[in-house]
Amino acid sequence: MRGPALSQHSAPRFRGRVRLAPAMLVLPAVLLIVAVLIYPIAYGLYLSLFDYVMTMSPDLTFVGLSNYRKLSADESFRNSLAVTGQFTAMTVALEFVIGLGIALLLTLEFPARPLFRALILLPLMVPPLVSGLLWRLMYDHELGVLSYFVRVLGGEPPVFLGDPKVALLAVSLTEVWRATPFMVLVLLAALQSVPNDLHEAAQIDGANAFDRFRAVTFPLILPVVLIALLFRTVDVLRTFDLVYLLTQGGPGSTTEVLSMFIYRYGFQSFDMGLTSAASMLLFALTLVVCAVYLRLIARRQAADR
Amino acid sequence: MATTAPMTANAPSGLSRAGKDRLGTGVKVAIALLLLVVTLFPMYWIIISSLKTNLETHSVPVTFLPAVWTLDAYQEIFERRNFAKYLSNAMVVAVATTLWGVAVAAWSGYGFARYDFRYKGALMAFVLIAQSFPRILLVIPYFELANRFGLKDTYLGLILAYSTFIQPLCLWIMKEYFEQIPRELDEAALVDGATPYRAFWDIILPLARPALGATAIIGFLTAWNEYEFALVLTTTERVRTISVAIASFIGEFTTEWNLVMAAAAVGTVPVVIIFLFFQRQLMHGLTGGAVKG
Repeated sequence: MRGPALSQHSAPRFRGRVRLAPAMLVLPAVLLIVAVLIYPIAYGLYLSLFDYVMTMSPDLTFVGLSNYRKLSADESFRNSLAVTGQFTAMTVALEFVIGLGIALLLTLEFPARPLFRALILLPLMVPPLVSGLLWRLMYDHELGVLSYFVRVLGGEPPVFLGDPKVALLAVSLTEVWRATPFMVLVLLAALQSVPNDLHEAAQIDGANAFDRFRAVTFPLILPVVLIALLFRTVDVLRTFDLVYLLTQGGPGSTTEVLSMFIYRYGFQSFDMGLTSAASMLLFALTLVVCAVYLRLIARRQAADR
Repeated sequence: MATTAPMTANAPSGLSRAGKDRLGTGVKVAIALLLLVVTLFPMYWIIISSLKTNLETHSVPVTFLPAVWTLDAYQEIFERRNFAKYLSNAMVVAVATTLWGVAVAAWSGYGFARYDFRYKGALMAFVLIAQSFPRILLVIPYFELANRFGLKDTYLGLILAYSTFIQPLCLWIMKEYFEQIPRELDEAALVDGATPYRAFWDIILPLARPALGATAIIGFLTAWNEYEFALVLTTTERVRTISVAIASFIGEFTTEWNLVMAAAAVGTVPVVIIFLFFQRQLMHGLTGGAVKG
């Protein structure tokens, strides 16, 4: 190793290169992100302002916000907005309630708990696509094992994926099965970080388990709860493969979430202008959801300090 | 946002003692078993259906164990449905995207962790949010651009498309990791006359080896599971990935369910094995940084 005197001596020579170093380090990722992300998004935004049906002609005609106006009047677009909202709320709520229940169970002591913990997380590793195919088989009216269970119990099973009243819930439960382990993982870590003495103090004060959870534990884990909800909300908001493989948006359009609407529109009508406009609206929706959650999280953090 | 709650995943439980005597052991074990049955039964169903004959998957009432155990479905997908090709396509795309993604993420993640510059906050916020972009938002312009630049049905087209989510993911995880390495280490090297690149290469990168591995695994798994881009950007067998291949076994009129489930099993088993082996290392990345693992 060189001594400090020598390095001081050599420092000026390097200074030029050193000053450039931050830029040289950061630049590859920035360029890549601009190339693969920002450019296509900007291109999508650009397309959304044009009348451009790919199969008709290669010409783009500038139409301003006309695509957005058309969309806001479009019955099936509005329907898909409503379906997306319902699907997201239902799925995330179920995942949260079940996930919290399992996480609480995991904080208790019982035999083979580590094994239970490892196994309960496994569905998270099933690709959403595989989950979709698997549940399509299990939901099948004739061949499905779930229909079979209902029949064994003496009932008449609904046509899970064909009944407009049941289909969205059926799709939602599939995602609940696959993704609840994420909630378990995050909530369990949060629960385990709650200091023990707080609980003991509350217990000595005579608080019962429910009160202890509500007054001591929950406020402490709330920031993490919000993050978990944020992650799951933006993830469910963009659901595509699951719906595509289970129902293709049907029956009718009762399960046509926004991603499905965009796909169907894009690859049936090839009206890329209108489709891009719909994508931009989904993008805006995602950003709004992120902003709302981040606001809540920031407020929580400010309150904690 | 990822740094909200410093916590350790395996800290002694705060509730275990407090809530111990509320529920009997029997009740807890019963609930746990019930949950496990619901959780694992669908996975059991993949395996068991893949070991049946096609006829048996279509027979009523359903059977919970195959009447005839057979590997026909596996033989069929590999020998006649070209499944090995789809597996290797998925492997090529996932490995290439990940290696490239981790390399760039390590190099630039170091820059993001150590230097301040204008728009850094905005850029990192974009990187974080980019992981949750609706993929369909990018699918449409990529479909257009791929047609225009002749990138359809090419590995390059898929690798670029996959970079849209792998790159932000890897960059974020690596940056977070570098920030945990004390600055004194590289500062000492700089004082000794090393360039920032030397400090990165000789001092910091060796320390970050575990993070490189974990990031690569998470990137690989995410790329392996991808469906939307692969569906839209591949029209022939040449670069079609396993996810598209699995779904393509769904027939318009009848479906050979044993084939679909065999394909699903082949697509899922590697992922589950990787997960079981690296569960602890992956915790942090899997929860997107919400949990400090």
